[in-house]
Amino acid sequence: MRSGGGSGGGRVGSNLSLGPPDTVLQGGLALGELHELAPVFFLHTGAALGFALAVSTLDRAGRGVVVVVQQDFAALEAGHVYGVGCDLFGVDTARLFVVRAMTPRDALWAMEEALKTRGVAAVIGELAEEGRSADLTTTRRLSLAAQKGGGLALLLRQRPAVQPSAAATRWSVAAVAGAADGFGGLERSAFRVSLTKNRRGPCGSWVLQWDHHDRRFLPALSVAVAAPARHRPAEAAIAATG
Amino acid sequence: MAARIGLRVGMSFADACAIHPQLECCEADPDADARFLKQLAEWCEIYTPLVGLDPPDGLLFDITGVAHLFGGEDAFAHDLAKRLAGFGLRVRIGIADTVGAAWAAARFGKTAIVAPGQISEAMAPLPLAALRLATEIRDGLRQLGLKTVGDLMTRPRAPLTARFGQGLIRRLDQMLGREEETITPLMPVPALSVEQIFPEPLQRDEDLLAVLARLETRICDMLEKRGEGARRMMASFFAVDGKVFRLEIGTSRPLRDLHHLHRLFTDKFALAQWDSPFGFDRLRLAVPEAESLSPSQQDLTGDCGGSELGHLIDRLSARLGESRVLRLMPQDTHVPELACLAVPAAAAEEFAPTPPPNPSPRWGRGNDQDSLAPSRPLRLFERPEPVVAIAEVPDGPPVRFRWRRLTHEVARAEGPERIAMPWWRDDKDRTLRRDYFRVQTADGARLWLYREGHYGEDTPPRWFVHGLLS
Repeated sequence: MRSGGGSGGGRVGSNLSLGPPDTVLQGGLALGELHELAPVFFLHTGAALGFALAVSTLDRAGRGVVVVVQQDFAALEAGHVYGVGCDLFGVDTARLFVVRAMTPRDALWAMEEALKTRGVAAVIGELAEEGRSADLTTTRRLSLAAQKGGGLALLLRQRPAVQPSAAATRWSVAAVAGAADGFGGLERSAFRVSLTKNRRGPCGSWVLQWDHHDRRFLPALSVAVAAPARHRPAEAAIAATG
Repeated sequence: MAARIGLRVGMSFADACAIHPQLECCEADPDADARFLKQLAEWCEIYTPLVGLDPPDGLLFDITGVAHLFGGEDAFAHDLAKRLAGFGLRVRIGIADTVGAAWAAARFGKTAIVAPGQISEAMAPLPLAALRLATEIRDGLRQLGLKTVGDLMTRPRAPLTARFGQGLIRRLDQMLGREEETITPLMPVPALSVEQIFPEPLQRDEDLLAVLARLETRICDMLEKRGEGARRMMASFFAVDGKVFRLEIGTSRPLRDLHHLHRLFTDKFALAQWDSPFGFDRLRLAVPEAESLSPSQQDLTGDCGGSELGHLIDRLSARLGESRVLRLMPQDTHVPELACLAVPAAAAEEFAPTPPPNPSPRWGRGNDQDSLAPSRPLRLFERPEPVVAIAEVPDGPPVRFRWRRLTHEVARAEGPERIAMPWWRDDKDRTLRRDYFRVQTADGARLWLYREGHYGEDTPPRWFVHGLLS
């Protein structure tokens, strides 16, 4: 899992560099295309949105805004986008717009309109459950809209979908525990991202840390799985994996 | 006519039947009547925007400068009566220089139209009821032997005021034009207005939208000549059967971009579900609110696409509602629920111009210094959800908690971060305090939990999930 490639950040051509996954992505996450992601299971919905937001901040050359479209039920299930946390995570909330959609149809319409608009750098749309309304036809429309606008299109389903989609890539996201820092505190946010569909190449799985100060991805050198040990690190059994 | 056969308002039904046995009774519904009057007033806007209600059964129009469009006041009255008869209404019309005189002419006058400058002569023979007086005043005047308006006009004013108060003289002055009386229009008068009348009623959506597009072009030209842009626009569709349907759009900045305007109206039109079986015979486009818009303010090709973004916000707001398209504004408070305020984007004055490449966080880093992980969650629940937690006493983080029927082991945690809730109080009237913890479960998921209350007291403390971190 320790593939080549250094840290990921910033835009390279019309791709967003994520670091290690760039090789199979032929340069990085492509702009002007639709990408899908879903949390591995419900508890990781925060991580899924976190990964999406992190990626949306990578394109810093442009001065566009980020539009997050949330279906009401999705916000009910897993929480609204919280400006305070976004800001601390590295997202520029002065350039963030949140659209609350009552129905999946409204959400998809808003996503499409936003993607077509010049000046919108990224659109993250969150649908509740599997987001069944985003079927092959609809995802194709979103892809076309992304192509037209040239920004980043991310569709976040709260549960992994099995139905076919026109998305260029499909990801499964989970939060991952970083190495214990000696004080038992929380490490940087880290994600295990599994690419389950990739038009440009093979699939794979990587662990990426998010540096929210510098706003870039770092490959995790080692990932610790700590046994539940309260907060007394001396007694924790730590297994390091490469 | 009822009065002619001896029926009077307030008479009992039994007495009324004695006079006219074939009387039918139906229940009075003053609310429905009021609604009907209002609906009628809205339709009557086709004559003039200055239409006011004169409850319970009248409408007041200011037709200054309007009558000539119909070929004179007589023709106007004729047209109005004819159209209202088409709705099944019998009306009496009075036209005069003052509201008071018109009111009197409609209800008591022999002729509908009072020639300008002829008010005194026309009003003199009318009974006192034509003056819109309270019953007691009318009875009092009758006792004095005064029966007509003319009688009153010749009397000295001071004793009348002394006896009956200011109201009487004011009504007289209003009728004769010595005192100003204005109509309160039902709808505010727009700054600009264009309209199109159809000889044949239109019913198909495409036709209506085509006419709307032509009206939009005209109004944009007018706005351009005035150097203004619209902040609000209203399209009124007048149906043949007397109903009026309206579409209103608002924009975040003054607008006269035809393309964008048409998109906004088309979106709204698509959502409208109107019941108009006979079609529409008139379409009016009005600008209730405009603002100056100099050519320099207009974005022609802005490279950051500022105006396109503005248009997007307008369209999303128009279709979904302004309260659903939001920006997040920091608030100076520790209370998590209030620290971030969602504000309608359409209300925001300006979008941020080119921001610095690494903007410093707007919410400050105070809580973050000792931690590598952000101290606030990305997602916040509208209402914190109760969980059952086991924690180390007295104020340690949870060790295990049960949420939504699943139990989670806590691997790591940071906290407590104590946040006082200024105006929440517990049963003992102490300020509520929450001890927040960022917990990480065994598989890495992070949540924002808090404890309310303390261990060792009468009531056990309560634990909640407030948000999800990344």
